[in-house]
Amino acid sequence: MDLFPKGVVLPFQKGDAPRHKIDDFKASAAVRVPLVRLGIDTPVPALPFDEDAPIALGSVLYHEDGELPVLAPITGRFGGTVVLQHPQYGKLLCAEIIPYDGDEETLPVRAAEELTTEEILRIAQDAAIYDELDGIPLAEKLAAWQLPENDLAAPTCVLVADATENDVFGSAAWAVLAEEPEEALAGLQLAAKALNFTRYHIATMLPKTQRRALHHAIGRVNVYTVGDEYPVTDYADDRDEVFRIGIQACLALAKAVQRGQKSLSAVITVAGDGVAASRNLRVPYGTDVGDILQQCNVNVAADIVLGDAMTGVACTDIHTPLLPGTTTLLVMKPRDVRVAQPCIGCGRCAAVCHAKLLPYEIVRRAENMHYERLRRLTANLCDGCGACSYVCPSDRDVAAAVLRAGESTGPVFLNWGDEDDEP
Amino acid sequence: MNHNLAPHIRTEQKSIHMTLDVLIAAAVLCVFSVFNYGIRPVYIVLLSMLAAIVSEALCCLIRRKSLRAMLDGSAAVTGAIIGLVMSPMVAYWVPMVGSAFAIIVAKAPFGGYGRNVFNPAAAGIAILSYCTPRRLFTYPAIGAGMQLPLAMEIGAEDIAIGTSLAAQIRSGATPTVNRLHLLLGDFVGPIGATATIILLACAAYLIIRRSASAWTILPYLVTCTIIALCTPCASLGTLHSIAAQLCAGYVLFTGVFLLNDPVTTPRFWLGRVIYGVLTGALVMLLQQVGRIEAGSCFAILIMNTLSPIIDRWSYYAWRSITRLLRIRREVKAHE
Repeated sequence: MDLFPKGVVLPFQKGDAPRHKIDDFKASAAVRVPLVRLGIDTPVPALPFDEDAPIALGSVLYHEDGELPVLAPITGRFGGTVVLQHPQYGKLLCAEIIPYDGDEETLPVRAAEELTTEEILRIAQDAAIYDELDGIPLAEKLAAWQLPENDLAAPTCVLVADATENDVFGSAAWAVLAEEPEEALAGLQLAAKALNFTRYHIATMLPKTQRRALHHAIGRVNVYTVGDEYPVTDYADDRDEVFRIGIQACLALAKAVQRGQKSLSAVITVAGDGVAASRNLRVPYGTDVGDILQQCNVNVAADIVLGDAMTGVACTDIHTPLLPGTTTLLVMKPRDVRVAQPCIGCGRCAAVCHAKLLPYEIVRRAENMHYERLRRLTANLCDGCGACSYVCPSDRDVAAAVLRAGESTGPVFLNWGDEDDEP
Repeated sequence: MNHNLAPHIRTEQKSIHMTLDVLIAAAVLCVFSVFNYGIRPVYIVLLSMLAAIVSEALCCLIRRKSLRAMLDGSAAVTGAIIGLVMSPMVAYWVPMVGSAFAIIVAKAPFGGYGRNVFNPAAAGIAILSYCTPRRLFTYPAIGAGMQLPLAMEIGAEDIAIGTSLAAQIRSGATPTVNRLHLLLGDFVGPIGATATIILLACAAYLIIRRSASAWTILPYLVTCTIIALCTPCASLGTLHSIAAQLCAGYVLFTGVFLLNDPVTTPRFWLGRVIYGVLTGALVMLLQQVGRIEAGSCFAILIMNTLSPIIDRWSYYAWRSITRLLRIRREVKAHE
């Protein structure tokens, strides 16, 4: 019996997916690859392709200076450009590639060579590797964290490859780690070298049998088992400073360095109560969500969520391309609409908050427009993990309200939106 | 709840489950009282709940709110708590008036469940103890298998009257209840406030089900115990004296039922600890110096007014302390 319960342990519904092989997904509908995010006056790039021009796997479609190259994730023909609204990234200009069967060559492993930190970053840049945790280019993250050689801070900095998947349905990281543990570790070592870090490990919470196999494959010292509370906060010992990258990004880095392979696909979990059995698929970037659902025999009338149950974004248009930063595609049965009740003050949101905030107080202050008090309550520290909304017995959207409050601590009167006019 | 907003799954434990847990605990106490007094206490509690629910419905109609708002079950809990602290021989209308007052005056005007400043049940009991103390604090003598008559009013001349434990302690006399009877609840007192073992079991049940917080109950009980230790009853052993003082009046009942109304207690754990300690101290003080047994209700009402401040200040204090400790640790590590 837990007298003073603190965190929240989610009811895992990962099924057998993490124990099964990752299936390769072959796109049958047009794949749309984002070229630029469109702002008010973003210049629209001209592409050097004619309509129906053949496009080889991994060829560069577009490359803006200082940005990651946009690569073709499949072999096909150019189908023109299209503007679409993406639920995660907003308005995007995308190149459309209509797939046809081409030969996909497997590249041989190159002899290991000693690479400098700059060379590793350049390879990560050229291979267009994105971190699946947040969709940020890996090279950009690593360049920001890089320490000078023999830096005094290095012993307290730990590079962590995050393979925890501490969410309800997602199991992509578990499957990747089970399939290619040595290469993932090699990628992590390369990333640590690029940062001049001396310490690194793979953080995971695999079930016992799989964990034992992993220990056997890459050595116990490289594996760090995290607790089962959501969200994970113990990626390393208390005193260490943690820098986190995704396990798929590590794997992509290893493949880019060892084989010259470009990062063109991501492993995603298709799961939820709307699918018969969850499974892990290797899907080219830009694949149409509707295409994935069709091949998984899913009823398209279900609620689709890009991302996992706790932080995912609802996707209303099934013709949305799947982009880096998403590792779970949730298919949920349509649910009854629940009406939020008034806060009864149970205090569970405060008990589960890993940022040590008072969500109920922040929401109350924001609702009453006590913006000057919000600053003291540091609502801006909220990372939107959603634990407070999950535990709320009154079905309130606490996390969303706290995030909104965190944004409104600045010039308050400018933040008064149309919502204030609602009854 | 907007389905487009994360998280897309929610916990199974809703507000209604918390109120149901309290009602289950109350039902167990009710069943226990049947053995001592017959079926009359059950009627008292049920009528009290009925009055609370009808008042809530009335308030919903007046405020033009959907009757769905009543489905949280909080009105039934208020009614049950008021019913449980009544004397088994009280006239049926007394708890009904108390429940109606609790809902119509102490709860609805503030905006209903979740927005009330005062614990409605405590307010209902307080007003009854002020207006009709004689009806409230006249208890029948206890005897195994006793059946109280079901008449609307029972006069003092109809049945044997007993002196409650709280009254014995306050008058300075040595309590006549032995330890075993204290534990089993075999002594004169309110319907649901005497069953010590069952009350403790209810507390454990509510804590396990997360419908009550150990952060409030434990500090409250510890404070009460320490104060009872410091003010022993004459000619009783230490343990016996502490047990007698904790079982007297509503002390234990307050800790399990009145203290755990989530709306009117602080929400932050440190605030709950401070609230528990201060309420414990105030309850024992009013128990010693107050003129009526229902001192704990007034203690709860007083603490309700301080609860938001305790909550906020304790949070700010705790955050400042942890920040200082962290800075100190970092400075030490740097050195």
